[in-house]
Amino acid sequence: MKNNTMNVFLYMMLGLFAGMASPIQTSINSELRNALQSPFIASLISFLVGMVILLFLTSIIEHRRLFHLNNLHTAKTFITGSPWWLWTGGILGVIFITSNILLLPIVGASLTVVLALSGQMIIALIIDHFGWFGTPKHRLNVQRMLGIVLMITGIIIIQHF
Amino acid sequence: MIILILIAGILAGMAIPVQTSINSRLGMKIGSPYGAAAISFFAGTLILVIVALVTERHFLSIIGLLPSIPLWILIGGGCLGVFYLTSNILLLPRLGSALTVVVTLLGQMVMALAIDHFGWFHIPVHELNFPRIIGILFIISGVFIIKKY
Repeated sequence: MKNNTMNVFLYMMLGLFAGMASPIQTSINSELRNALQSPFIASLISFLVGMVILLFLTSIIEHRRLFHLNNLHTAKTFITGSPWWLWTGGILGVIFITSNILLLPIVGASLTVVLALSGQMIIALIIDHFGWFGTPKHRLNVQRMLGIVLMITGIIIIQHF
Repeated sequence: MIILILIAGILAGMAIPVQTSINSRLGMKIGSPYGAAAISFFAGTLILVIVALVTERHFLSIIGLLPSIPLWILIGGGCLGVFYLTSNILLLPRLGSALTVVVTLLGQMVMALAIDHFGWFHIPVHELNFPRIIGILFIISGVFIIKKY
């Protein structure tokens, strides 16, 4: 039991550090944008580095499955048999990373984080409400509306002071 | 003007849960969240190559600047992006979605306030004050209520 509590504590610390990584990432990306004078190429470098690391990670962690997927026929039927939108996650990531690079120098780190967060919450409630992308339906209720109102009030306060 | 910028930030944030939903579907299909993330980054890289080629008339000369840029600026952003993503994948089944969001959010808020307060990374200094802390508390309680109900 004590061991389990310790684990949860360590996981929470990891989550805290991961969260801290996020605004630093945006800041470093906008330094890169300044150095290159181009938000899109800064974003591109960031994605390229991320892709290389992830390919490396995937080939270590999933080497058995990757070997299986190497069977070209399986890969081909998988690619042709999947709905087109399955490949669009990357576009959305691009929109997010590039917008953050553009916003950070204008509105500051706190407001950039807070705006993105509110957008996330609003769309997450809509996805839940309609059960899009195969998620279980979870209707909008008064408490959830109150949560959104609190968040928007918070944004207005931070933006004014 | 500022209202348009605020709306743009909110719209950009809206991309994230949609991306997460799509990527987790992809992850289930190929049986690996890391593989799904790699495919997602690969697609993102391809799109940015096209966008950069179309919008930047001096693409090659900008690429030529890369060797003169300090390594931490060059690879720091990508490394931290992968760290954030991978931690979230690892934490979600262990902490549950509410707790995962709240701890990563807390980390983001603390670091973002610190960056603004000290003006790190050439960001204009914006000192922490009492109303800003109240604003953050509003937002964290809002997130908590939404996650709870």
